[in-house]
Amino acid sequence: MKAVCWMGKEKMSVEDVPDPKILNPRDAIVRITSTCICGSDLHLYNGFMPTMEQGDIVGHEFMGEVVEVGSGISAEKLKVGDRVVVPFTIACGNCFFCHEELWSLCDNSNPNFWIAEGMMGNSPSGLFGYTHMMGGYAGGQAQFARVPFADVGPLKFPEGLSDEQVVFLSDIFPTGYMGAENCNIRPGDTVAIWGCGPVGLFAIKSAFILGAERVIAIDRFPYRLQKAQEAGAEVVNYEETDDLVQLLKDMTGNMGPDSCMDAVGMEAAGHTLPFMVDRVKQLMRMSFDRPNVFRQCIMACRKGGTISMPGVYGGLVDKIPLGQFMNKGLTLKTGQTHMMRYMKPLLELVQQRKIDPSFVISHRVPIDQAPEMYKTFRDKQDECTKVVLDPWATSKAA
Amino acid sequence: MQIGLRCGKAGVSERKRMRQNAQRNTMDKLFYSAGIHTSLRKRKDDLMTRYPSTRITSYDQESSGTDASARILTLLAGAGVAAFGLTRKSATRIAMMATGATIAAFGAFDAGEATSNTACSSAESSIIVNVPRERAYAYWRDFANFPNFMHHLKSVQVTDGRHSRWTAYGPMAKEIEWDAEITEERENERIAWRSIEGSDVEMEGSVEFTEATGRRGTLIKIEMRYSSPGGGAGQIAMKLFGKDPSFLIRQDIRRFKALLETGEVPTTEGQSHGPRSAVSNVFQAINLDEPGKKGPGRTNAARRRVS
Repeated sequence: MKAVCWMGKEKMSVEDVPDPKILNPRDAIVRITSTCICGSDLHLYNGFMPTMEQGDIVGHEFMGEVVEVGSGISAEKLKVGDRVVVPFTIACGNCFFCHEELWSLCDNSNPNFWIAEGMMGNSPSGLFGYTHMMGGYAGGQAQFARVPFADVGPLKFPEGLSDEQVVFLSDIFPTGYMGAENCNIRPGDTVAIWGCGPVGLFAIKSAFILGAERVIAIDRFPYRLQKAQEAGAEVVNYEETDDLVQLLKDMTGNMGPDSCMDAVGMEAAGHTLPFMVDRVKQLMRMSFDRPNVFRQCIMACRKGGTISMPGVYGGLVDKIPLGQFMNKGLTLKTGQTHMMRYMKPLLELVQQRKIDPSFVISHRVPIDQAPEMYKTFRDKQDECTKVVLDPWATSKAA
Repeated sequence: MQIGLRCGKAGVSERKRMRQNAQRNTMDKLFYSAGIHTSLRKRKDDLMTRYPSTRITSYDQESSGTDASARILTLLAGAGVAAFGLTRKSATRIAMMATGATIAAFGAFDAGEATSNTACSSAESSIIVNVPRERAYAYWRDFANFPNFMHHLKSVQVTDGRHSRWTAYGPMAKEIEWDAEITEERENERIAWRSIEGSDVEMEGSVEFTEATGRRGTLIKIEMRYSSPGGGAGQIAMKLFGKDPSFLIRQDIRRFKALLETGEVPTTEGQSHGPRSAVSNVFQAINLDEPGKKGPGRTNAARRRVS
């Protein structure tokens, strides 16, 4: 089958690899019909995530049709022919954390738990196609994928919905929604969201659903800011101001936004001195992360407010204004998305036509074009917001 | 009931995986001494040394290759300082030669000591398993289940109510066998066992089951101790288990937890991947247990690039 493989920093290639097999009783094999490139895949592409190995199949936003089911799964749970969206986190459904609905912290799904325990003290759940530290599972930018614990994760959905309407339930829609939920929004609140990528855009819509009165969206690409504006946000191009924090305070009567969301993560851009220091440190591999958005969140947030962090970070970070964080009495909420908590309720929103997630899509291409789309997406060329890959179409050039 | 069926099913693929794990340990040893790692394996070793506090188990080992080589290094360093002293002027020469000789003496003394010891290692670990105490106890009480989560074991045959015959994977496709007996048994509380006298491998172990706080299931504490009176298969066993017993036991007990909670042990062994790097391919190509047989997930035949 065709699969997008990580072959090194800035090297993705489409390889012909063996089809996946059932390895455990609770596995299923899914024939993938739509799969996407996620912003967090760009961290892999740029080589900033530790424990990738050459040849790893990437991709964690996919959906398709079940073609094989392991002996440990009953037919009511899942059967051949079911159309499913597969969440990017892998969860067993049996451990303490799954029972607490902290699905992305599942205790049993990461076979390489020892790497994560070494790095973080404890291991989060396994993820598809996202480093060996997170399990080393083959990803879903391929024609088929093996889905472990398939009686827990994959969401069946009814007839009449297109791939484009449901595929984002695999990651970015629930991630944006949980990001907004983590903002502790109360009616009338103002929420500032850094990053108008797909997660940021879903977070804007979700924040309004959860009762926010104002959403301020921050980015530097006009086409993304325009999408944010269409979603109902007030927009700020941070490149047009020297003091973003002051600007946000000015926009909120000196209070600062009630909640600030870092939907950017480890590879934040910027044009001020602290950003340049981060950039140099990251290039010298002294640090995996460039935390300048998080710094701005702390400085801008209103006293007693909440910071939500759906953006992905990799490791140790310094130069965080922790004293400011403490003295302002802020709360920080973060984590990989507890997918199974959100997929069903959000599917209902889609079915009720309250939201059409396909609004984020900017590119639909055959899987063969994945390597070049990584570059396009990374460099924000061609107004790229979200790339959906068709694993079965062949490109005209080939 | 469901669990029992699944475990039986998992058994077959488990065995295959165990073999690979045993082989990997051997490979680690071989390549470690030659200073070669795959990036991932090196990272594991780095992590284990850099963040020792993350081990929840204690680890003591009276003799290990790393210690011995450190001492030999000391010896060489001392000799180096002394030799360098020879090239200096009189006063410095004497001072440096004296210092160097002292360092070398420490090294020589230690190096001699390090290689003459009998080997012994022990490890302990604990974990909360989200199942009732009776179930955890019952699964452990059937020693034939051990290879399902202790991947260095090929099989454990229960010969009678108290006795069992253990077969472990050793380096170079050798198998090591010994007999063990149960020395203590308190239902749903504690099991202890040890190898019978005269075995090549002297081992003892115990496991305790208590209610975890907050109704989180069963707290399991395990202790294992291996020692070898020197020479023969026992020494080989030490090399296998001696690498880092606390790491191995931690893996075992995590697998036990996964098996009881979910009915299977999570794995990626045998999944597909694209072409690996040259170093990684060497690791996969050399298969000491079954030379010439390719490992699972190999994609050399599929290296063709899709245009």
